[in-house]
Amino acid sequence: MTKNRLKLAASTLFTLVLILGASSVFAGKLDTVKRRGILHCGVNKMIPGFGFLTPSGQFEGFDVAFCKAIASTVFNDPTKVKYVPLSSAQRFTALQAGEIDVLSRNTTWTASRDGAVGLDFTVTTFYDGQGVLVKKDLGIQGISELAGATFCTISGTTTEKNITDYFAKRNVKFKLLTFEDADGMMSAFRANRCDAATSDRSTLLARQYAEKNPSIYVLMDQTISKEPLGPAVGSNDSQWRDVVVWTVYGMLAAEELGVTQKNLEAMKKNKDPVIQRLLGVTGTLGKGLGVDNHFVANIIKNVGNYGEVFERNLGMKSKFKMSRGLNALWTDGGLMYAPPFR
Amino acid sequence: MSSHTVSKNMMILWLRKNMFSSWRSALLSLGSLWLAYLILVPILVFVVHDANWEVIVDNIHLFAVGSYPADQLWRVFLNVVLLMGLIGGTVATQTTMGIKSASLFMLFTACALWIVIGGNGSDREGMNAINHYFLIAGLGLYLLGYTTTKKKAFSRAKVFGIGWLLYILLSLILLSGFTGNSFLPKVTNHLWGGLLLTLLVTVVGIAASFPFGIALALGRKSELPVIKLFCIGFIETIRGVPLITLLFMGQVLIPLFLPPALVVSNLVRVMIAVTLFAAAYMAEYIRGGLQALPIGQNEAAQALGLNRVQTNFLIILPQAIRAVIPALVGECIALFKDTSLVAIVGLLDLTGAAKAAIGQPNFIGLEAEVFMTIALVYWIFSYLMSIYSQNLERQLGVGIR
Repeated sequence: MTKNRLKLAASTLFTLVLILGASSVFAGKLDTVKRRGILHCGVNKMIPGFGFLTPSGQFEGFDVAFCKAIASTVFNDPTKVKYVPLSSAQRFTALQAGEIDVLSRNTTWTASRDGAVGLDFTVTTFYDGQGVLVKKDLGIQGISELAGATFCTISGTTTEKNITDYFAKRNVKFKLLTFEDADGMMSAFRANRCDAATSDRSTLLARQYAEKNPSIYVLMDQTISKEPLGPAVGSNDSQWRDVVVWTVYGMLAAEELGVTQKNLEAMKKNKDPVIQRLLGVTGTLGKGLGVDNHFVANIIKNVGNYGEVFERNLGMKSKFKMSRGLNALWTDGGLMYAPPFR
Repeated sequence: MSSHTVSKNMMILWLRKNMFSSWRSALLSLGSLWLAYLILVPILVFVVHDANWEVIVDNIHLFAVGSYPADQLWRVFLNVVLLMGLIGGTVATQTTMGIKSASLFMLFTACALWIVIGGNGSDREGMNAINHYFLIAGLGLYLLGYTTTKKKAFSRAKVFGIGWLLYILLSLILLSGFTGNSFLPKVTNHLWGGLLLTLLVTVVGIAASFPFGIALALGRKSELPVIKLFCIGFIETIRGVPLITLLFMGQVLIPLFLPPALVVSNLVRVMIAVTLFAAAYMAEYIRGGLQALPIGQNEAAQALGLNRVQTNFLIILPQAIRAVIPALVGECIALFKDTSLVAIVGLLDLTGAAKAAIGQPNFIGLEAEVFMTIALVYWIFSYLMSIYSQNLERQLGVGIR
């Protein structure tokens, strides 16, 4: 009898441990983050404008702003973020291993990363693409006018292939000079060894403004490749993915509706039902996502809307004076479009 | 003839003897001078004229302590002050180091540590004055450590075994603090960085790998097959892979295998990897020392009735380690420089801070300034270790006895 009872007790205990263990494994990321009290955000520490460290050791930049926004959604506190600076080699494993909750580090959304690598991308926050930097006095309007020109670029990236494809398609001859890094590319370009430099537009822009006299160069609006960048989360956690997705959409919707850091308090009293729902004055949109009903208002208060974040880090209020281009709202001819908050 | 012409003649004589003794050496001398001119002049022009040193001045905080909170900096400063005292004591154990080289050593160390303490005033007004008190206190403690150790004739074993170990523990507690404590609030170690982190990983790595290395060396010579096989396997595995592999394993594999509750912080994983790596090399150096000892030492010790432990710790190891001091210090210097690899796995050590500084919008493309500066910092610390080891060798009579 006692033996049987012991067996029963042991098996009950075993099952209990299994259930507990399983439940701790399958606990959603949102609950994990809430319980932990701090968001782990994977970032880059050396991309000017997107993710970098200030002299006092604080993380700043466009990508970093989304970490702060997500922390505002979950905790209403943009400082509750532990930034994990990652190299491009580490970033995906860090996400798979659960070391970080979200990867906000200039990562291009591609099919293989979404599929084989096992990430879930959320929303594109920045439409990058390969661009071309030329000297202003060349007076060139489009990339196709650069037939027979010499291009400087960085070796070992897809940029080489993209520019070759671009001109092969048009059956036009051109020359290519490749360099180990952006420094080599720019010094050759400066010394007139090539007519144009080609790389991701964001890289070229940062480099242009590092030059002694940036205004003699012009970065063409045209792009020859697609590089949509945005935050990624671990696979198969739709609740957590929703939180990140609607954080970004909230910032986009706020810009579209004209809600800014400055006029937030006034906007809360606005009679427009769309704005009321967005800011959580009416409705239960936030609750449905498992976060504070006022989460968009909190993001705007702490970080600002999408346009404000863009202007502060990359646009006219920054060193880079980047125009919105594809990153303008759809109402302004860009690609930024948030589904309705209702 | 005036003394001026004499010295002038002497110089010509010296030149003729050493640089222009034949047409071949004249050609070589002129060639080398030309080469030196070609290399040095652009460097000098760059350093004095072209370089934008603002990137260094503005980023002293980042280079010194990484993201360590500015209002908690006094904890780092206090740490440095204590370190100065300990270095004073360590220098004093060197009987062959005269007053002259001891003060040179102090000056050198003070310069290096001034980077950490003095420069950090840029953060806030009024901090500068406090920084200078810290600096003065550091110099004072250096002298105190030096004279006390001299007067009381503390042995090297005491200074290292008690002083340094105590210091490492104390500084870790001081730096990390306690959760919820208002006097020493918790500063999680992902905020530690810069030179502070580099030195911390080095010191912990050296301190932990030395005893571990001794154990491995003795284990490899053990007669118990399990221990022997384990030690050989460990040493050869670790020596068979580059350090960066171990670091990546710590970063990438451990979090995948272990349940989240058991995963220690990034910094600790790095420290473990560095320690394991250094220990394997130290073990092999020490084994070299063990094998260099004549078998008679062992037999004589046994004849005196010493047991195995006594034989090892009183007779064999002191002689074996003394024989391989140059190699061991070389390993310490290599370890110090190897810590720059932790930048690749995302830690913000001195190299990581340098890479971060050139990512700031204001300082894009200033690689040369930044890397020249950190090279100088690495050189200063490596050279300090080298001076110390040369003295240690002289004092212990390595290669003479």
